[in-house]
Amino acid sequence: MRDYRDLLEGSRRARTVVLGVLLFWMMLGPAVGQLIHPGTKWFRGWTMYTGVGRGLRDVRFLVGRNGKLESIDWPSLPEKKQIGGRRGPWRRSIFTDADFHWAVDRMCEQLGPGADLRAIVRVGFNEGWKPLLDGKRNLCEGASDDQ
Amino acid sequence: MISRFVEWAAHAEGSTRSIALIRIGLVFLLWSRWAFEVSPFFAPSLLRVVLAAVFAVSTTLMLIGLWTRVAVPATAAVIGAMYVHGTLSPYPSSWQAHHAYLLVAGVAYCALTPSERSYSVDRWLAIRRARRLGEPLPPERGNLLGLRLIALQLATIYFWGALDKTHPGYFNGARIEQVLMAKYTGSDYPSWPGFHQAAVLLGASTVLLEYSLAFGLFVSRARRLLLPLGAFFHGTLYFVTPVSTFSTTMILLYLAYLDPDDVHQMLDELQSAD
Repeated sequence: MRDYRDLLEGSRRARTVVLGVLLFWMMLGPAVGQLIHPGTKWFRGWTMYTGVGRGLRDVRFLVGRNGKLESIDWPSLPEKKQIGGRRGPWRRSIFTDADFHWAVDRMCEQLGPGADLRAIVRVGFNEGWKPLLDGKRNLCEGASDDQ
Repeated sequence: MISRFVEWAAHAEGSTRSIALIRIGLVFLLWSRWAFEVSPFFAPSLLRVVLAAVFAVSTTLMLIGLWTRVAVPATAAVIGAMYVHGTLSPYPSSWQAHHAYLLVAGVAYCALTPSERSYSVDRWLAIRRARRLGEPLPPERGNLLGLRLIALQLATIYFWGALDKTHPGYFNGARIEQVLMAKYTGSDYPSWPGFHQAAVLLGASTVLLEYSLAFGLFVSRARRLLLPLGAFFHGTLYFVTPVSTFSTTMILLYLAYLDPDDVHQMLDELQSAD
């Protein structure tokens, strides 16, 4: 019984057509998926690692003591047990305002009344880091809604 | 030039050992990626039972090379359907990821080349039949369309991957810093000396290497340097920031860049050496 492989092996035209169609698809996928309609699921773009680390906050907390600012460690974010939840380095990864405010609230609580907590924060984008907080404001004073 | 390319890509003949090795290697990658996830216990349903059964039977036949002409396209159809299922899913699905597409493409291209003519039960049966009938042994040769398509697919991946990285973030080190921080240190910027400089160097060299691999792997003199460099690049990524089976699949498919007759001869020498 003849099958598609017999057709391919026996016909130069069939092989040329298959090559043309598959090459067109190979090139069309990324052209659409990366240039014309980025993010579409139907055309395969080759954007490995594009989303990894994007939106991550680089956070450095500082505490004011005796008129000087010193670096201070911050509490890990709550562990989430579900699949894909926050474990390992992810517990030290701030991607959202909510996570940032959670850490700030815990730290202000631990430092006590009158604490002077600052943060220098920048957020990761494709083009580079963009500054978000410059460490000039005491985050324990009033609402922590400055992001 | 176009006719020379078409002759090379669609009509060349050569040893089938390279594509047979790719066929065997792909099955191990398919099992490591999906054997667990297609198991019925993962989400018990009739569809899962059927999926698990078809996946198990078609990949096993593909591995040992029995009824290969049916087993390889059947495997391509099963994992292709899984890829489409992942694409249709309203939620992010790893069945639709880059590494999944690469496996689907690898098996689909494998189905276009007579991989059963080497390292298969099919070949063993064909040899026995030929000996019984006093006929010459069937040659381990065939059309190389599938093998060429694999090489072209890899080149496409490198080119578009490099193009996606051609922006300031890869040359000022920020993207490498973000990826490594996301995987290792979280929102704490590493205090390791030279971290930023290393990130700048890694970012720029990654883009340059990917452009070089896209075109240079087709040039035999450049291949001597680029093949080990590419394998080292993927090997490092596999251990430092793994993306499932992507790196290992790329390394396996490098076989498509080697002259199949050279691979054949090397295996002959290897097997005849006492």
